[in-house]
Amino acid sequence: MELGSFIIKRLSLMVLVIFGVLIIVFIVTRIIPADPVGAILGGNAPPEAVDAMRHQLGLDKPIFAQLVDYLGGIFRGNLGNSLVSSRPVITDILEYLPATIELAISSIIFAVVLGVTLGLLSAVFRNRFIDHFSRVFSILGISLPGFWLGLIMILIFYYKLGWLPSGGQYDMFVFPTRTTGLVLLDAMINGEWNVFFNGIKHLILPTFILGYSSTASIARIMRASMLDVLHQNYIRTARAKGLPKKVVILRHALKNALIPVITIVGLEFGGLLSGAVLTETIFSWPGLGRYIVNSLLTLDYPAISGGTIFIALMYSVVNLAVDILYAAVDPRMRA
Amino acid sequence: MKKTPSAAGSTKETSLKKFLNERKPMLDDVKHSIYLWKKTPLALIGTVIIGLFLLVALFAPLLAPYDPIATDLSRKLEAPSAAHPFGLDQFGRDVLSRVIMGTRIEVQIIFIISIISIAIGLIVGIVAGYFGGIVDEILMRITDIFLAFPRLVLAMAFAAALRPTLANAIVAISLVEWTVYARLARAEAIKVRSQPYIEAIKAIGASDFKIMMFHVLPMSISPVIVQLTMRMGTIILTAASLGFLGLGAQPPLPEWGAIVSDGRSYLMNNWWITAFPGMAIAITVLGFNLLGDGIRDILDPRIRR
Amino acid sequence: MKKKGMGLACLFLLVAISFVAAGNIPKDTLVMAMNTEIFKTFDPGVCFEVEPSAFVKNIYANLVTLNVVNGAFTPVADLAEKWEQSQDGKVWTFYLRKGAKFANGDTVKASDVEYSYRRAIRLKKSPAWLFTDTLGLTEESIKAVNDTTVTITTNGAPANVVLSVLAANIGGVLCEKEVKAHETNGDMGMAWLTDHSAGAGPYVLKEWKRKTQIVLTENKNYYGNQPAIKTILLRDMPEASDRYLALKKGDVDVAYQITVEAAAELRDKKDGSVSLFTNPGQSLEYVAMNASWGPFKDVRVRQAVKYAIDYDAIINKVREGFAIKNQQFLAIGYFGYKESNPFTRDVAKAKKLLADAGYPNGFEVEIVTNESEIRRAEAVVVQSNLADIGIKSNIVIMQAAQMYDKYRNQGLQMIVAGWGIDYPDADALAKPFADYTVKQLAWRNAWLDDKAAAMTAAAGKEINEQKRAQIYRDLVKYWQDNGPFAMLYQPIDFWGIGKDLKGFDKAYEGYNVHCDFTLISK
Repeated sequence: MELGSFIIKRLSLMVLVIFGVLIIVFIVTRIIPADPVGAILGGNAPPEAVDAMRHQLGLDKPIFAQLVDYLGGIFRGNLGNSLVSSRPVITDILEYLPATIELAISSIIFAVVLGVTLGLLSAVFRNRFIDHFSRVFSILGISLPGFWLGLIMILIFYYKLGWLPSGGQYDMFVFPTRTTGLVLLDAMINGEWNVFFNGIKHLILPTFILGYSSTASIARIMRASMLDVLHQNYIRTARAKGLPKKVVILRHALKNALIPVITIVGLEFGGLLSGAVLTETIFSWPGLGRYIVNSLLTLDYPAISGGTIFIALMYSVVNLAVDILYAAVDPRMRA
Repeated sequence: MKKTPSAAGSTKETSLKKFLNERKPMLDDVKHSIYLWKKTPLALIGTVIIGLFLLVALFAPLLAPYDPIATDLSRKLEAPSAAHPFGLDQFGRDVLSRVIMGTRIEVQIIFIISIISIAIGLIVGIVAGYFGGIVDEILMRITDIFLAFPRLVLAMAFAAALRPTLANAIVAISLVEWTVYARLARAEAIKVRSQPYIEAIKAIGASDFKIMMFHVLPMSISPVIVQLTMRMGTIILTAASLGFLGLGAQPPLPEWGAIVSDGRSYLMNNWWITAFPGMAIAITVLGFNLLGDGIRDILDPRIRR
Repeated sequence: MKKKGMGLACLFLLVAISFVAAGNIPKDTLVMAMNTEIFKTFDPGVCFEVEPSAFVKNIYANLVTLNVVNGAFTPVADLAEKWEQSQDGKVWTFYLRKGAKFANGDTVKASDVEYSYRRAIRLKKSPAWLFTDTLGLTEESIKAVNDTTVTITTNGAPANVVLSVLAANIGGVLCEKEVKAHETNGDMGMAWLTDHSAGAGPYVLKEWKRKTQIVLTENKNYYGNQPAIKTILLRDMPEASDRYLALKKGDVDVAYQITVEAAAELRDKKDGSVSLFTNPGQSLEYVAMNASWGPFKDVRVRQAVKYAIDYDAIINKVREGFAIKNQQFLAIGYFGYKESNPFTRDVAKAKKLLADAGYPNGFEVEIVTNESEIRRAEAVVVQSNLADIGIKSNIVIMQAAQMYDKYRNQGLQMIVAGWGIDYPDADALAKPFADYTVKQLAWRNAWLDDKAAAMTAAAGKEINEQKRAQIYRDLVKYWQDNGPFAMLYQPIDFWGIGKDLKGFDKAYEGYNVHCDFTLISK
């Protein structure tokens, strides 16, 4: 298949899936057994106020009319107003999104650097100590519950040692200038180096916790693909020609072995978004994950639907990008 | 099916013989696998952990030194001691007893989620793969929709919408898990469908249902089971995460994730409430992952060679 | 080469990080740590949550405000320098203070008051019923007579009720010009006012970075004395232990919502740098039984439950002593309050009452409560107390939204919950707890008692104070015997505060009906 038509097919499929996503989210938010009005008005409100609010939210309409309202709203880019913040959900999401992006990027970088290094070393020193160590280290990464490990890290590095902060993006008396919303990037743009280093300090623990779980699969794929590459003829030829091992591995093998890692990074992105929900909750990170958790706990259904739709969109777009990238590299994938 | 019991019986018999014959080389395979198993120390460790985990769950009421939900506020937050090795929580409950009784909840979670998600996955996958065409197209697009969400996020949404209880968390995770098995089962079903003997059976009048039941299903089960063992660790982690976020098991149920969450406000001075149940999750999940890893290695042709 | 570069970069990073140390808090800045999840808006016509209300109070000036004088809430002049009441008690005339200005420099005019009150009524948000139901106001009830005079026509509610409601957040006066400039789609500035301010109080809302921090700064145009504290930083710290540690480390001056254990530690082990401030809370904690559900239909069963509960354990163990035993609906210091705590744990008596009612072997019941740590603990204690008299109970933790939905529809069997006082008058407590016709707590627990309802209504209208107090005393007695409530306690609120903080006790006395940051200094 031509790359162009592959992209078109993949895109139209995504449109279909996104429509399904919208329907599922609608169903989920409508089976919520609670009265969102109770959440808005609190326990003291008299019944007349409750009825008035119910009408105002359109909750007294038939379910099909609500579905039409909902879909119509989404196509106009309107996700409704959050019941908790009473602001448009899209405003809320855009406010929390940069923090999540920042954390996700730093975690992916951490996971890829660590995963690739471990995988590479494992493959080169197969069945030696470093191989076993990297295996145990990465299998611990997918076994230790991140929410627990995060708490233990806070216990050690904040409560006991006092080296690192327990949460948030920056300290109290740090007032970053907002340009893009990404704290570190803004700090660099504006030359606010105290903000930059403060931000780094706050990023260390969340990045480790979120990135660690992705390290395992990256290391595993890297190891396997590196072993494959090392057995290829051209590598043997290169070695036979007398090139030093280090040069062969870094110049020739590494580049080719990295290709499968692209896919796994795409796949890990979903895990990363899931993990962000927990990591952000533990580290009081002002991101989208914490927003969704809070909206679920308060049954703030416009926020739930807006947040989950947004996350699903992000995930789908990243997967699409990875698929297309992979298809461009490897024509066999265009099936 | 009930209309022609004899016919059904004979089909079953022949297919069983055939089943075993076809699998003769596989039995040798199993022997080889066991040999490999013994050579993989990590998988062995995993097996031991899981064995212990199941034993603890089986004898939990005998092993737990105290009542896991009996409160004694006069002794709340007591540090670990000989009488209470894991300490007491904010209600004066024995943390060790809660962790031990928690094994039963985790076993329940794994067991029910496995059954529900495999059942849905097999039905969807086999039907899609066997019939192909428009049926396949529709079912696979539905699967894609479920896969368009990060798993935990979708499970959280289902759990919150159904109202957070242990049972609903189990349903929520199953609703997310089945897609894995549906894809596997579909692939198997497509393979089996193209076999010449299926055409032959069809010609002698076997119904689609029987073919799916006696020919496609048995072939699909083993890859699904293998995949399941590899995912069990993830299932426990997901359930514990829901419990931790308050979207799963509710107090006073001693679900491990919920206990970790209980201890969170007391982390600074009373770390034991958080530390021990978290370790229990970590060790159990590690056991399943080591086991799954071992299985993956044994089945990996590169390593077998 | 590359490796060396990496190593150097790491070293540089570590050094740089170690130099970025937390600075000391400046003298004119107050830093508070809180879980800011409950903050939804700073709009005085919308805001109705306990903690945010205290902040809104310091941003907006009202016609009158409530101060604590000798332990009682007393209306005092704020934007209005004096006021008078018509013969029939229904029409109120307020005369505005000369020279009071909004933060943007505009003079406060009677038309601003008219606009703000009408706006609150038209918005119909959570607090609107205080105006429309309690005072019987419509938009036409409020009239600006001239620039400095405004009249308000009420339904004849007692003076204390009228002034208390006007002093509440909903009575905050907004700058009409400024609000109208920020109107979108006819929302009367609601979207903008969520995180901006247009008031005449001592502070202005400078910044709200959600889930990070809220910043208030002084209002340079405030008519009163300039506060010693120029900047108030409200830092979002969702975890109780983080707030406590930040306080101990000196990173914050005030820690809200620390655990009762941490508070007890501060109280019992005096530590040089941190102390604890306590104050009777403006709320009541109770267990309620649905009087239309199974065994609870029988008043003897309800009494059995009241005798089964171990109030002392809840007060001393769950609350670590941060609660006052108060088994009536009137809070301490309120009109008509007289100590009356007839119930103590008496298992034998409770068992006998159960047996008399025909349940010698008990029954099974569902106790519902929300996720709050304290409530959960209370539910656990009640569960074990009930088990002692043979009642088997299951605890169901619900999210607030779900719980209120069921509660409103009389759909719960038993609940552990609390009631925050809406305005400081006995009527604001008697009505919800005893008069089912207002469809509040008594109704939600299906206690449809006409005698209690009639007594509540009579007390609300009685002008003779002695008679009114007597009605409340009779009502309390009747209600304690027959009602569906087992009152657990009146909480004592607490804050961990830094030692160098002065005036915090005066500022937070009567929280959150009264909260005045201008009294704090360092």
